[in-house]
Amino acid sequence: MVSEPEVPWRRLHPASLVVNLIPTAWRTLRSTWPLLLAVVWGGGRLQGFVDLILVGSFFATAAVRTILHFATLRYRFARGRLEIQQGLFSRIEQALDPARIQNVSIEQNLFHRLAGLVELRIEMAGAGSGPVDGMLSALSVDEAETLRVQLGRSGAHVNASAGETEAFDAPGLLEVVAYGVTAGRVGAAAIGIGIALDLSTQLAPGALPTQRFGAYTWVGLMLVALALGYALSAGNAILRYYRFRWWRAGDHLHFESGLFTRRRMDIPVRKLQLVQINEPILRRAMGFATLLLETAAAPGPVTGGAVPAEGIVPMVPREEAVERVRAAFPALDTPIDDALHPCAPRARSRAAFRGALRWLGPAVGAVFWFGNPAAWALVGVGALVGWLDARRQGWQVTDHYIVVRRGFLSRDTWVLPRQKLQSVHWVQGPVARSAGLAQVVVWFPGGRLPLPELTEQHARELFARLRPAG
Amino acid sequence: MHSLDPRVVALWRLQGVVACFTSWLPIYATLGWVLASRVGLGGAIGGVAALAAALLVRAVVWPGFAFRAFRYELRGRELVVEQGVIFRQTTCVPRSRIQHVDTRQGFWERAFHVSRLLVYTGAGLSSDASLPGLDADEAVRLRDELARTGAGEDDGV
Repeated sequence: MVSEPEVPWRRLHPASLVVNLIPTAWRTLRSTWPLLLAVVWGGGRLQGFVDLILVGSFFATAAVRTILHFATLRYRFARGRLEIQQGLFSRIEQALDPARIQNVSIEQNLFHRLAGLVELRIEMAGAGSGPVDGMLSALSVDEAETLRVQLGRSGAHVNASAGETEAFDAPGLLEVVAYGVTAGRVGAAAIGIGIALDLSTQLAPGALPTQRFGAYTWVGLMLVALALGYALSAGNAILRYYRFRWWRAGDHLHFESGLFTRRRMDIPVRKLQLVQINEPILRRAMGFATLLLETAAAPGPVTGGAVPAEGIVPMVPREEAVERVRAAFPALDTPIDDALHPCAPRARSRAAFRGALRWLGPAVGAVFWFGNPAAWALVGVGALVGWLDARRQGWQVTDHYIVVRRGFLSRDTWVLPRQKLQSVHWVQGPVARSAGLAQVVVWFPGGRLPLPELTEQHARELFARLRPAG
Repeated sequence: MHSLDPRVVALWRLQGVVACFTSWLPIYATLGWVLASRVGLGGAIGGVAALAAALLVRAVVWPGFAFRAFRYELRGRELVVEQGVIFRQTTCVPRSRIQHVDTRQGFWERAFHVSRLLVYTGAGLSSDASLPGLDADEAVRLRDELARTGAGEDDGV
């Protein structure tokens, strides 16, 4: 019997030591930021021997991690699968079956670009332990391309150039900025201003007489936070989606974008589990929507808002959104907008009640804080928003797809192929039971999607229809 | 539809009673401390005793309801599970979607010769269906049958 020749293990490019150092230092900093914050707050001014050792240890840790990563990581494509070994004390060995790969992405940050290298990321289904199952952080461009082709020949991930190519309209710079502005990062900016104020009172007591700030000053600060938030969001959007383009080649969708770090994501269409059309109110008013294309690689329950999607098209004209969904699901057999069924009428009252409850806490806080009973109006606002949200809810189940829509201020529409369903659940709490309502929840690879509340009988019929025999 | 093994009722009761005297202790202590500072020692003892009594009643009575509400069946190409006394839920898992099936048996479950069967699909969140009190031999038989029947079919992932 002739045995297969042993495929030699390969290592990362030696330049990875330099290329990975700063990103690793940044990751270390992010994972240990509470400690650093404690040094800044607790110790005063970063002077002194202990502070120096603490800060030095951040960079020493990053350097050791980078060296260990380079020294211990081995990979090879053998026996039709990608094998990766890494770790010194805690040894990790991975064997990735190409047929189970959900998507492959190639990233190139500034340091990669200078060194002529790329980072290859491979995501598998149900990546529970981390965002990326196989990450090869510094390969030459040729090496990465060879590996991508090898993975393609052996599994679902075929050569990107195979088949007919169709390029889709991509957002320009202004639209990317608009995407950032409508994404809003007011919270982050507000926290930033809060930290800056706190720092100023600690480092230079008396420099800012915050105790004497009047209402106008606080309103002004809030406006500054708002402006900063929008600026941050716009900047972040430019960093991520500059020169965005996406196209379909054969049975793959490809996405490429990034100002300093260029990312290219390849997703086999048959691995797509869900497409979400996300329309926050400002974006909707501008006539745009965002498409989020989800594989099974990033599990997370879908409870509204954005899912941790693998493929994102930041800005699509609203009237073209459904047509673009067909890039992912060519057999989509419903027009979406015109054909959605509403939730049960009683579900709207329940939604109004839930909305009121949700705003009760903030209302109580506002009444006690400002001493103004007018803040109770927040409860009414919550009820109204809840009712309007339920009024906008819709669903449709066709022979091949499930479509769900919800959201008044920020509207989301999910499109899920029925063939992807993993299990179907019929759920009913005591309050819903007293109102004669029930809900069907479908689980798909990567998450779960609750349909709007229906009458009990209607939910039973839908549940029966979605079962395999239905 | 099938019921769970009746021995699970005694198991749940035992677990509930033990929990009354172990995992609820911090709650008793907190409640006692709060009541003692507001209504005195007598009120604190009374309040804690009332809570413990209510929990004991629940531990004894509730398993009977939960047992009666729990039903399961292997029906054609699917596993159907009905459960819940207050929050009712019916779950349907197509056999072709099953990725793996586990049986688990803790200390108390071994003593009662029952097992928990966990069914996982590609949803990857948690087990899609859980049968908590099957006879241990029946659980193994069911596990093997479920693991065998869906093999080789499209799992939708």
